[in-house]
Amino acid sequence: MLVAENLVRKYGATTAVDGVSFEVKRGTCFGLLGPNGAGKTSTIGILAGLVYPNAGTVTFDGKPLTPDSFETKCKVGYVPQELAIYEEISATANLEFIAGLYGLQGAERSRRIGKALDIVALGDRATERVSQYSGGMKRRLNIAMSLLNEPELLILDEPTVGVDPQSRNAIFETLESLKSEGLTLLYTTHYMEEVERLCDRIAVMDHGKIVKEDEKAGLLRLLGGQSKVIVDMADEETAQKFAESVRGDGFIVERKGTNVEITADDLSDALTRVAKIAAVQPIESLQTGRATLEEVFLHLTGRSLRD
Amino acid sequence: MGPPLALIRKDIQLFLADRTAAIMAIGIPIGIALFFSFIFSGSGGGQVKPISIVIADSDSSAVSKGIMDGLQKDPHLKTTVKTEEQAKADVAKGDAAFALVIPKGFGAASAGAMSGGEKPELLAYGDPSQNVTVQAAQGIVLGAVMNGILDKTLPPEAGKGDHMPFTMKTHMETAKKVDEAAVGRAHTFAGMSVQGVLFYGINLAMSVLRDRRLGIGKRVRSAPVRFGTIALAKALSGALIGLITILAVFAFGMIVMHVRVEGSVIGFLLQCVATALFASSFGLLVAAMGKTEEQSRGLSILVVLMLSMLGGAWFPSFLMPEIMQKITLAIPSRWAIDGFDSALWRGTDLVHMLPFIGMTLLFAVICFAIATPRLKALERAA
Repeated sequence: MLVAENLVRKYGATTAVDGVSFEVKRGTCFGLLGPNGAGKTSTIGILAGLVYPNAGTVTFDGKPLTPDSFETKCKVGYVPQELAIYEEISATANLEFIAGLYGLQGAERSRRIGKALDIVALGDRATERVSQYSGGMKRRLNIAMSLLNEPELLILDEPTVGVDPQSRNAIFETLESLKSEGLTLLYTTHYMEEVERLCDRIAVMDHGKIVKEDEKAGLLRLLGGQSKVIVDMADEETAQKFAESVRGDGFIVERKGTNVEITADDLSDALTRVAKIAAVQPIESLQTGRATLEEVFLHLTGRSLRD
Repeated sequence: MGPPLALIRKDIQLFLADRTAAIMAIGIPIGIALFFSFIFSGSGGGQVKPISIVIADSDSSAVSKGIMDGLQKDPHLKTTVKTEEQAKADVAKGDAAFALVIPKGFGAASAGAMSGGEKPELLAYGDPSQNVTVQAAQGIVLGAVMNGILDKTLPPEAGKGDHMPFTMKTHMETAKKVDEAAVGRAHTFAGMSVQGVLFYGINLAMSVLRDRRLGIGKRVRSAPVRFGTIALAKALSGALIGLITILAVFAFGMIVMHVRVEGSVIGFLLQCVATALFASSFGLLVAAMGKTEEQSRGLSILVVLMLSMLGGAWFPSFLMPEIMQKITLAIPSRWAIDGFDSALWRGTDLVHMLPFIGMTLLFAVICFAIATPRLKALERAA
């Protein structure tokens, strides 16, 4: 459906997007994951037809997608990272403004505005000034404004920044509902749980490049399908002794307070080792798990701060 | 509703949504205009710079030539010699503040008056908006004329005395006869409406910068709309709101302060439209020059105050040094204010207003042409 090939975008001497390529298939949710300053928003700017790339192409169903390809742009919805709404006027007035940009009028305009408001559950507050909305409601309106052109692809640039868990959940439910109706989603974020919940395929971006692209399961396998054993000890001293006893034989051991986290390629090897030491150093509790997407993300992008 | 109308309608909604700001946009220029009206309608103050006057000699006698010579040599005057008709027309159009006409037979009659005959009358024309200059010119001219007569009619050894062998009547001259006090008020409302609409231009600039900061610019550009359409719609919506501001200020002036359009009503309305378009384009230019609201606001306020002052909004441009009067022809607000002056109290017809309207529009086009490509570049870099 959407194909990005060798996209390059420069701002002066800085290369924000450096040879990015990927494909988004119809009906799926594609996650673009990366730390701050990774180049996600710049990439989205090209994909949404806001700017031309310095090099590379974007095609939508085989047709070029550029700032001047109006026919193609009508099939794409774009939710900016910022709350791109006017708070001085009502939700309806905001939606009428955007509808006007797409040439919608009369009954069709009213129908689409009503539908968009229903999708984000704002129908009963539509005539209120947006300044009276909560942060979550504003975020939902931000999404509704991108649905008026009934897009085939919805591009969302970190749409849940600064909202409470309830509002975030409501936004996810909206997006899951839209996806189940066949809408294709391209979702950028640096929140792992959002990607894990929504996305079928994920590209991890850093320093303007795609460092890894795969399905979620494939990315998790990147850390060797590693397993974890987390042991809780009575106190930090015994936890430290336990950690020192376990270390070796390819196990990665990390103590966090009274917890000892053991990462191993094989879960049974780790459990056998823990059981042997637990016989002499009693443990409080034990749990097992697999590597998380966050660990994959940190593995791929490093742990240094990106301020 | 097409994209341009959607953009314009949204801007009007936003303007009206903040009622306090909307009232302030109209109320502040009215308040300042009222203040200046009360100060300037009485017209006081001094004048020391050489005064430009037009002189016409319809007599061509020895006395009149002596007077002309004396006037041309007077260090307090800068004289231009023209015919009586030209002199009168120059004052009526506002090209000269004062004109002196020596009527036919004045020389002989003034010589006769020295020996008890009837005193002849000198003709003078004054611009009612320039009372200070007119009064100063009258004083200087009276002295020069007196000397010219005495030099030609009395022997050098004779005492000159203080008998004045003539009278002078000054006619306040405009294309239409207006109440002189109304001239000051009309000029003040012209100046303050231009200043007020320029301040609205700053608001427009801030709205463009805010749209960029909020990401609304990105959302609009993701829609199938050309940037030229977006910029043009912004300019038109700004001009529409600016026009409402100007008309509201003048409506107040007409109802409360009896300001009248003595010249072409169509010309006045066209000047309103041209001024609103200029203010709107100026706003776009401010937005194009600054990256943030904070960065642009302070500088643009200073620019508006300078444009207002140099354009003659605070005090008439004739009070400025002559070199400044020429330099300020490059200031768009000067053309706008002069255009309003022409329509309001000079009683200028449409044809003679066209240069003011045209120049104001030209500045609007220049601002728009500079602003649009830069705004486009800034939006795409955002």
